[in-house]
Amino acid sequence: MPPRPGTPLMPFVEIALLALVALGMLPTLALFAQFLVVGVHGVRNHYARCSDYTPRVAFVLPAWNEAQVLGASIDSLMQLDYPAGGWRIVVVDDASTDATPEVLREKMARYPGAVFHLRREKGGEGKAHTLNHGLKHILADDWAQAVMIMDADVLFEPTSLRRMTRHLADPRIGSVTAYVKEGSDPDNLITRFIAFEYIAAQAAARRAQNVGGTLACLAGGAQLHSRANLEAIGGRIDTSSLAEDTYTTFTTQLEGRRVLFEGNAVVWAEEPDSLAALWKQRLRWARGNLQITRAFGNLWLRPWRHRGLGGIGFGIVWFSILLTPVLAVLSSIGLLGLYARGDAWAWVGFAAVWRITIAVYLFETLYAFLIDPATARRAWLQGLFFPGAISLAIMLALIVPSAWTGLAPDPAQPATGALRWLMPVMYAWNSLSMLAAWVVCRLEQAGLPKWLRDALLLLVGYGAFMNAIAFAAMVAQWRKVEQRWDKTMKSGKARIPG
Amino acid sequence: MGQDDEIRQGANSGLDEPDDAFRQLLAADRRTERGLLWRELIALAVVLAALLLRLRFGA
Repeated sequence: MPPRPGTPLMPFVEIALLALVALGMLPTLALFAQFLVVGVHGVRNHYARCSDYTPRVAFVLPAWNEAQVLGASIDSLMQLDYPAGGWRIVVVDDASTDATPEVLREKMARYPGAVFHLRREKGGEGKAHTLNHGLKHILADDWAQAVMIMDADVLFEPTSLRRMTRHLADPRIGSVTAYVKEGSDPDNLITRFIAFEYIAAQAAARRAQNVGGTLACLAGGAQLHSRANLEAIGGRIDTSSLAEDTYTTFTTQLEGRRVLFEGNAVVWAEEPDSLAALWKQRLRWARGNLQITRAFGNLWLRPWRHRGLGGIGFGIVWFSILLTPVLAVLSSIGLLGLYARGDAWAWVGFAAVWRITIAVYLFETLYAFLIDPATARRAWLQGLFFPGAISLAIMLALIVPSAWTGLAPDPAQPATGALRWLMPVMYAWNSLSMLAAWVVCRLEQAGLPKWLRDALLLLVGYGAFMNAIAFAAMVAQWRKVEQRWDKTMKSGKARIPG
Repeated sequence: MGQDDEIRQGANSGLDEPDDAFRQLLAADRRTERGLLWRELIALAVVLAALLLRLRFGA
């Protein structure tokens, strides 16, 4: 039976379904556009306005039961290549019930005059509350000319602070964020996936945002603020959302200062090593981003309100990434709708979507490897399998037409035999993969052996797992599920390589 | 000094450590960033070559 094109009576249905398919391409194209801009950072950056500026820096470390990681963090900070006496460490002990106070006492004795202990009587309210306790004390006297907000487990490379402060020589710069790299030792499949993800999400995306002049998010693990900036945004961190770092990034830029990413300032952090822990962390981040989207609802796509945050390009990238799971579902609906109608455009749309995906995947993966070769050596497998083996098989099948000949001489024809169920699954895979990733996470919680969890994750893909979390965040926000601060547990296994 | 007036000088920080660490780091980082441009061109060229090969031989 020849393929039945859309009948003249139904052009609107056909066009609408094709439009849904096209919408599903937005995240891929937005990420591609970001990656294309990265190289421009080589010629358009802030280095011309840097100078040898070494302000007095107060590091504020929020610590809620961080005895296992705090000591190593303080030791790394005391190894900084920075003028003597130019920095101090303020640990805000969030009413810890573990050995955090003892660790601090030992470090205060070892580094007299450099480490300070602030203790809250009530803990567990969240990082923003803890930070605000520290900021209140730090800003109460005039010693600090800049403040580094960080996480208790983060290890700073010796030159990282110097690489960040030089940008604050330009008073238009309000804050600078570092490249937070995954540093678990020993690592596993999940932490290596995160290591690769951070090349794309930080080293690439944030350089592109530097070029555009507007940063979407300061890393919570290492963000340096000028004192003037902190005072301009009220001297405190927002406590109303789960994404306090993004909130600070937005308010800094709304106050008229720029926010920069310094990709050569490297710090190391321990990231979740299980799907359940990663789900918890990223659900918080994703819900926070939805809250930010709502909180700054009067800005989006309105360049007259703010040239950067309200910019059309920034808005398109923001919403494309935020809505990736929804767009994936819409795309699947479009393809399945066309397929159900026996429309030849179903195959055309499917092939176009995946062929574009192949080209973007090849470019982004190869370029990510070249941006950070050290991480690529460690996480090349995770880079290659980021979309998952099933998605890679679909890509391969489209690259090698002979893969189809046994099953279907002309895949544009209505499917028969094995393809009767395989084609709809492939058409809907961008959505089904999210469901599959969620199932893998639940199986892990049910006690699935790690080797099997890893095999299944490689099959469905880390990207699908991220999309599943973003989808779950939307559901949680829609259902108004209570938000609470779920701390990411750290065990102290991060190391600075070499 | 014009625009340079806006640039804060290290001496203003109250700290005094004359060394050339700043210049060395800046030069190294500028090289790194310029390198990213070349690496991007290499990545684009490889993908373009793969697409052309696919079009030429893959049909």
